Amino acid sequence: MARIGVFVCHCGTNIAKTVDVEKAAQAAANFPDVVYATDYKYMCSEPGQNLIKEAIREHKLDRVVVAACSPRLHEPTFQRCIAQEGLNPYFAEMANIREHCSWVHEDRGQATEKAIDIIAMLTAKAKRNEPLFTKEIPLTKKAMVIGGGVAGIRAALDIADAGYKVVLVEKTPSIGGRMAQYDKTFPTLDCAACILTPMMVDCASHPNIEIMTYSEVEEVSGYVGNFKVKVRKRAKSVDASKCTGCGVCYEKCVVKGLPNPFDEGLGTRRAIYVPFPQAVPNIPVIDRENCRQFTKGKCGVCEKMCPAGAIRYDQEDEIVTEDVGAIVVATGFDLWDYSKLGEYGYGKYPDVISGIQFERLMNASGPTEGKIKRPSDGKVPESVVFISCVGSRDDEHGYPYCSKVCCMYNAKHALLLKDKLHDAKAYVFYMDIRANGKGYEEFVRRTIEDYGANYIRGRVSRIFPEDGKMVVRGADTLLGQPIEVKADLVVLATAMQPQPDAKDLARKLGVSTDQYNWFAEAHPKLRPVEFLTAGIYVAGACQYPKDIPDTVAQASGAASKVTGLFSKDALTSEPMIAYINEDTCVGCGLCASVCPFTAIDLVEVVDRAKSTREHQVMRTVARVNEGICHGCGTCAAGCRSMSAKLRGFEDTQILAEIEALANVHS
Amino acid sequence: MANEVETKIREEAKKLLESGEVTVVIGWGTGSAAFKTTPVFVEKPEDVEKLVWNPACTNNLAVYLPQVAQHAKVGIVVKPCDSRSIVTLIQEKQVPKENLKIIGVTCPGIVDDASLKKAGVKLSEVQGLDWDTDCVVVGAPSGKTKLPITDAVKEGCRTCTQRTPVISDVTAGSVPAVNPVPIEPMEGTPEERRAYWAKQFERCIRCYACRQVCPSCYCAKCFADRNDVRWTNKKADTSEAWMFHMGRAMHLAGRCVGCGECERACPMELPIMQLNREVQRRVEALFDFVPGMDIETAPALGQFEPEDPDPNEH
Repeated sequence: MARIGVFVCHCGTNIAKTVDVEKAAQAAANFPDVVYATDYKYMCSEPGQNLIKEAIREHKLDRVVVAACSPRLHEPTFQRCIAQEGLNPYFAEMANIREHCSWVHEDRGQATEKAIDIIAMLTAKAKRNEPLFTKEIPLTKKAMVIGGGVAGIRAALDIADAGYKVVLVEKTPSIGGRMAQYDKTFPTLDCAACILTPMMVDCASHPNIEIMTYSEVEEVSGYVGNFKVKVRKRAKSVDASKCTGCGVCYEKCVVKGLPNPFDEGLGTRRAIYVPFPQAVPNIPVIDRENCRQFTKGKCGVCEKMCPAGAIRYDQEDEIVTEDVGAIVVATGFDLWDYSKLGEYGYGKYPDVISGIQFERLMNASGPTEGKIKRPSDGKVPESVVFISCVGSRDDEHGYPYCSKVCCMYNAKHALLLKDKLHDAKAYVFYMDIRANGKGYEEFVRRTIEDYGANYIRGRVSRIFPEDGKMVVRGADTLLGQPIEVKADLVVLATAMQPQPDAKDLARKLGVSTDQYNWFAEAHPKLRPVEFLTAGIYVAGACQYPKDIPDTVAQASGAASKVTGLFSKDALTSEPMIAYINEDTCVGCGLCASVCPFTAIDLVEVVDRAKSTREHQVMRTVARVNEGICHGCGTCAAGCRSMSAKLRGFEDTQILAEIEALANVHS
Repeated sequence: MANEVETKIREEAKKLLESGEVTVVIGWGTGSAAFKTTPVFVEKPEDVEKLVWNPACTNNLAVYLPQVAQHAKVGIVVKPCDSRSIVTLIQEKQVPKENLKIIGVTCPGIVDDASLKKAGVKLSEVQGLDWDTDCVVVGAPSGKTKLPITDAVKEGCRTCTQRTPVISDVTAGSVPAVNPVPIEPMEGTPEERRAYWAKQFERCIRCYACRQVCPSCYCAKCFADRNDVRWTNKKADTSEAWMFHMGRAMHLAGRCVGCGECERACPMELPIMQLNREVQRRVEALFDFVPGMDIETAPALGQFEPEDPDPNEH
């Protein structure tokens, strides 16, 4: 016999306004096994909790049902409360008569009846509650950061500074990411390299950080605190331990004129290269697709010239397995390909370029050494048109979302253009100016008012070449008339889009992506740097378009989550998780395939029914990894043989709830 | 028409048994009457003459595989629908594919005593059964009668779109030219359907024959038999029968291959396949998924994608 106490909360007037709480408490007093029932204005308050504690002592209660709000809100409160009286915390049940009842109904009579039903169900369930216990799970206090852009660098530095080891995995030959490509950064006009490269160097020299460049995540297994990540370290064809970074190899390399992706195709590199002068690590890699040693089988110039003897043509990809306790995903973004747009010339006009290309044209380490020259003939432009929202806010060709940073970098480009070439004209075609950040609106005003950039509100319908100029034809929607600008150079603010391999990485990590393939955080407001999968965090523009301040803030946020996790010596497992009755499990694997957290493995066990002393017969059953399981119950719902079960939500408990409801109404 | 196929089945079975590739071949054998066959387990090459093929070969022999083929090499003769059961069993890890040698037969449609009775055949007079292009030929003392296939076969065979096995090591028979009848959605308003099924389930004696003949009902302990959690009560009444049949229908969603064995086995002649067909029709409409067609396509209800259609929007 259980001794159940029922505590009906008024929640001020939140519940009491619609539900007759006194009547509900009186009704509850008559339910089977209920020995005490009362109501109170705020059960979660200290007097409310004391009332529960006193009742436990006085009436020797062994189960407590609190009829109040959602368990998401106050279940931990009441679990702690009854635990202080020596009861197992999982003997507290919450009957949600607020979100599920008073907030969604108007008729007091009917709402009261429903509240009584809900309490009846939960008392029937509480009677069958079993004591549950947490377990301790060990954890590896080492993190992996995937992506070596400013987000990854910041996160890695923060975690490393807190005293934990970090592996920073970067796909390209150098860390630095997108920010390393930029010239100046809005709204303060700091030189991107000046503020980024010290962080890159800090990363490289930090005793707690190991950088793996030219490397990609192949496979992820395990769970929070105990991940195993396989990383493919692609062959650089250079022995990093010997290379001194002197640069003789790429000065002497005979394969020239290859487009350099770091310069967005405007500059060139050789077959052995470092992507940019400040690269970290400053170790070249051989592009085997274009290297003559690999394509023709003979050359060997770099090997002969290298004074350190560091060239390794026979180097192979290496797979390393890292044990880490947490993972930060900071893989950044890609840019939308504007060659899809016919009205802007399908990408075939050399003087119609993207914003990132313009960054390279202005950058002192770029292909023009910072002199703004148009790509077609090297002419210094006298007028430049900047076009916003190319692929953003464009459901038809690109994406419906706003890429968030374009208004600001258009303003920055216009300002810097006027700064470098005082007589040049800057035109900015825009839909709206979205300048909501610290110092942003002031920056745009400065571009317009102090630097004289010409802002035109309207869309560009067509760009075409005429007499050595690009004619930009559009509408000025403020004047309500067509407009035509003859420009030397047109710069398109192309939309930010997810990395092409984002979905693939999400699958490896067991995290979700949204409809565009941006990584999906656990909660847009309250858990913005976490994934639903415990122990994996997100930072920067791989989640959604972000500027540098937001990216860095989120990276520090993710890092603090990681250090918070690592501050414990062991993790506490959630006891309300799934388990498998292996006796009845038929090993069909449905639970494993529907588990959103890949928390279920199929294992071989001895089939005792079929085995003899001489001959052992094995059978397959499912097994829950308690570290990974989140207790979502998908397996329990899917299992046909009812072998997958959820602690705290056993079939007996659910059926008891249904029966209680049926009994009340029969 | 069936003779050639029968000869081929026997040849293949003999080869498998003689070479020792399998220890047993499961097929159909002569039954207690001319309109019946019975499952046979042939273990010796000289016994392959016991194997038959005719329009009464109704049993879905895949039902034996989870017990027989888990740890032994087994040969099995299958119709197209049975072959789909094998695909689902392999997908659901109940049978290792490498343990099977599958002798497939093409199938114009199968009869059972209920479908023959419905077609006006006097069962006591039936002396033999065969196919002839688009007819079922019923032999009787008075001579042979030809019934159009769509009149004589089981309901599931009328709507069947798969006339050749989807998985087999050898296939006997040519592809029959039979046009399937489309599956109609269940008729009536929800209230009418509720009344209809209440009447049906009233007759259910819960012998569980439907479950026992079903290759997809392989659970070691069925939910209906559990006594730790009583999903169904032992009491024989409509509501308990209702719970059982609904539970089974849900468990077969996206898995039923439509062989119709449950309905054939039912001593009370409950139209169980109406339920299963409706569930499968909905799964196909929602997820564009037909169960048991190939091993690689993951079952619709065994996976989750955020892009999955929302049933409420259909």
